[in-house]
Amino acid sequence: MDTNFWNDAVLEPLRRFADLALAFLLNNFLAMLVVLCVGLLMAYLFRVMLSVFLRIVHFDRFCERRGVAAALRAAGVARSPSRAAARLGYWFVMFVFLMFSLAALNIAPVNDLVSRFFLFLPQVFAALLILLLGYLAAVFLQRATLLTAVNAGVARARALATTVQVLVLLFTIAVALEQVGIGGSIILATFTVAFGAVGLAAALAFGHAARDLAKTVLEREMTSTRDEGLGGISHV
Amino acid sequence: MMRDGILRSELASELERIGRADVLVGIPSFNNARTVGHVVRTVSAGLAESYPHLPCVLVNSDGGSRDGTPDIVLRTDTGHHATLLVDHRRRPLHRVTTGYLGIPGKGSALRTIFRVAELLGAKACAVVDSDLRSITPEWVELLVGPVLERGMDFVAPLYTRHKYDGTITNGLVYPLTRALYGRRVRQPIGGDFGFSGAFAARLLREPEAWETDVARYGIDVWMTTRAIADGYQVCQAHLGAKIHDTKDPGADLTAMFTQVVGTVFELMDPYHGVWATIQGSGPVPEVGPQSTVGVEPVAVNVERMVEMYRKGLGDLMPIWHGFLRPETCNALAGLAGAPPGTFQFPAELWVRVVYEAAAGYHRRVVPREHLLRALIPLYLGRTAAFVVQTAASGADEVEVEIETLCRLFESMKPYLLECWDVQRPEPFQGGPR
Repeated sequence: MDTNFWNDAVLEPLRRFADLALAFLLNNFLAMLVVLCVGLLMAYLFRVMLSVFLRIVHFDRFCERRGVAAALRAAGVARSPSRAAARLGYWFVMFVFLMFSLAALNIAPVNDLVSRFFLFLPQVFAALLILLLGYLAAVFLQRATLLTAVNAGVARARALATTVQVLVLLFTIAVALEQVGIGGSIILATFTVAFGAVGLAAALAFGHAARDLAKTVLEREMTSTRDEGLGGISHV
Repeated sequence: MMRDGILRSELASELERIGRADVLVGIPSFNNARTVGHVVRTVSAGLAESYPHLPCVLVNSDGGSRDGTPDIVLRTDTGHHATLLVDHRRRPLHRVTTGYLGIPGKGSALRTIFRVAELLGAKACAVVDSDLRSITPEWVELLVGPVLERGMDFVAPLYTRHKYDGTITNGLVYPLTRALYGRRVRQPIGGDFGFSGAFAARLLREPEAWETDVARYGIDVWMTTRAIADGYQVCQAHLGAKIHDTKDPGADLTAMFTQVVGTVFELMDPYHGVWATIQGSGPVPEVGPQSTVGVEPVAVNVERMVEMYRKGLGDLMPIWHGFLRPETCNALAGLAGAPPGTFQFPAELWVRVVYEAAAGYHRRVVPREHLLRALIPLYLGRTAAFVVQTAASGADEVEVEIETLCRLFESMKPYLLECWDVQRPEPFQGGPR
């Protein structure tokens, strides 16, 4: 009886568990490893191809021109933008294959996690795209504002340009966060209040402190001859 | 006559009624009620004096004036030349006024004039600005005559101007176009030109150009460059003084500078094969009597220009570094200390700035609009230095200085080629890791 009990209560379940574990190891776990290996290979190939493509289209020069390279350097990224992008692509492909490999395990909670990840992926892409475009727009507008202000002889031109850049970046971040579902209404409310406050403060400040200046500027705009302030030179 | 997106339909039908014209004079305008009447009277008198036997048309291409400019064009009394209103009568001198289509600007206005010339089969044309106060009837023959009688395709103006009048022309556009294309056209952006009907028709064949700055202030230098670089017969006409209304609504230095200089730089790409092999420069035939006439004095605010240069130096250096070489930027930084009265901007440094900017524009090292705008404080600095340098000089001495600058542009042209062809090193080197 003792022998039967030991057999039935301990050894048999253990044997069944060992069979299951072995089957799992041979089937799902090995499948996961295969998927991971394929992922490594695919990620490497993707990195090489992306790197070559970015070099052909002069991605580094584009980033240099748009100020992205300078921002990367300021953020401590020593790699070139094309290499950084290629490496980012590498880890993205690896991450996707990691998700695939987890799915290969065929464990219900993990499957649920993986399916959620893939459903979430388009939103992450959209948010990243928004961040990238927003950053480029912020740099472009910063330069355009700076040039316009300097050529118009505006005092503190750089501060004005930086303010424009920061506002555009903040707006971009808010939109990106909303895209991935983080604090949607709170961010919107914050920005509404913040922009409203800035606008109101500017209006009050201008109304009180620069009323005469506004009048002068408007009068000059309405009646000025060209290039006023530089003498009577006819440039053309 | 079909509608082609250049002419308004009512004008096309009016041109059908006019039929043909041998001589056409175009007057682009925008809110020039104060001066356009004088221009119309003078042009009418010039046509009557010089070409009484030829069918002539006067075309006003207006940019939507709100001060009654087109009405003045049609109603101005020209003595014995009766006014011909659209849809009414035909007389030896037809007068037509129309609004133009396209991007608002002088270029679009001229495109309409070119199209009218083409449809009427005009042999010789001229365009004169509507804000001129110094125009005389002789201008018509001086601009049209070389085309009709000497087979010229393009007649550029030669003016007597104050030594500080036309600083973009004197300091940048004239020396640069002369060094590039090897022809000494002294007023490449003068504004008043004569040209053949064939040349006008050729310019119309490039629809994409009219969507650029050519439609705005870039038109003058575009026409001049095309005439020279395409090998047309070019001459210059002595017109005397150019005195025009200083009121120019909507005009400002930034727009003028970026559109004119942008057009010069833009044309360097398609004409690289033409200018890259040219060395030195040659004279361009001149017509008309060379006279000494009085010019209006010009007041110059050197302090303000130097201040603008310093402001640019303080704020725009990162952008300048994008298209200028480090040694050029260092030299620019070294200029800031001098007080306005002794401010200097060496000509050699200015030539380097212009050539490096042209090459940077070609290689798109920074957004092109930004590059052009970033040049403005440098241009003001150079202009201020030129004014300081020539403060005690007469007009002839200033002309000698401009000639010296032109020769420097020519002698340093190899530097332009070096900058143009150099492959900008990638900021980061190496393969994928």
